[in-house]
Amino acid sequence: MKAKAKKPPPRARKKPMVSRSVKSAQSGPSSPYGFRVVENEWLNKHPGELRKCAGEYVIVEGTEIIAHGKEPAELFEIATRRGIKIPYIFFVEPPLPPNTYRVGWL
Amino acid sequence: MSAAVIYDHSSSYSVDELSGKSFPGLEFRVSLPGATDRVIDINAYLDTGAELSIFDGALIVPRLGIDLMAGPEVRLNAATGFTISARIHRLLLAHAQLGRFTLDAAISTVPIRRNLIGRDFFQHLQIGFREFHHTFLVTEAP
Repeated sequence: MKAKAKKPPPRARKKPMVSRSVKSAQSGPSSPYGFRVVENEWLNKHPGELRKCAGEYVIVEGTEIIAHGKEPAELFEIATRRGIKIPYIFFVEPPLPPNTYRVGWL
Repeated sequence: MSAAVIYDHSSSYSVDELSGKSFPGLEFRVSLPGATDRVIDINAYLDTGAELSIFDGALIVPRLGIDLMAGPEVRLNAATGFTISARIHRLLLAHAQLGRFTLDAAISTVPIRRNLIGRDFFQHLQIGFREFHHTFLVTEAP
């Protein structure tokens, strides 16, 4: 019996970027820093702001934490009520215990 | 045989604000192809051990309005041996410098802590890690 060829994983298809609305504040257009320069720089400088959100999802806009909690859907509603059209959301991982290391992302 | 690669972009690792640890990650604006009203900004870890890119369904599904279970099922096996179920859906990923990509990505059916960019994505981007400098380099794959 002839074995069936295994289907390869789906491929990503690249499209040309239409617009570049935000340039990196760090190192100019050569840095793939992203759309959220203001938020990420503020977060890097104010780690204490996230301490109360450990183990939760957080939506940040500019230099403000808009909402945090366990249910992303509820946070999106809050963001929408605040007029935020594109929420920037991430999970705040609780710090690992001492002498503990990550060995994989999943 | 020697080989040289010229990279177009470089980026510092992202920093986990609480632990102070850093990781190679990219920030993407994610939407469904053709949909402009439902968009979300997320961070994703670069994961050379992931055959497929996977996104946290708890984030993606309510925001983009995806009918999660309508997508084909895949099962994702982690190094520790546990397996989670995910569904494949086509997403549009935009990065401020790297461009736009359509990707048939896995959306988790259970919450996961990290979004992962895997080897399906790396078919189009060549990435070099400079771990000592906590920096990675990116260019289009040849």
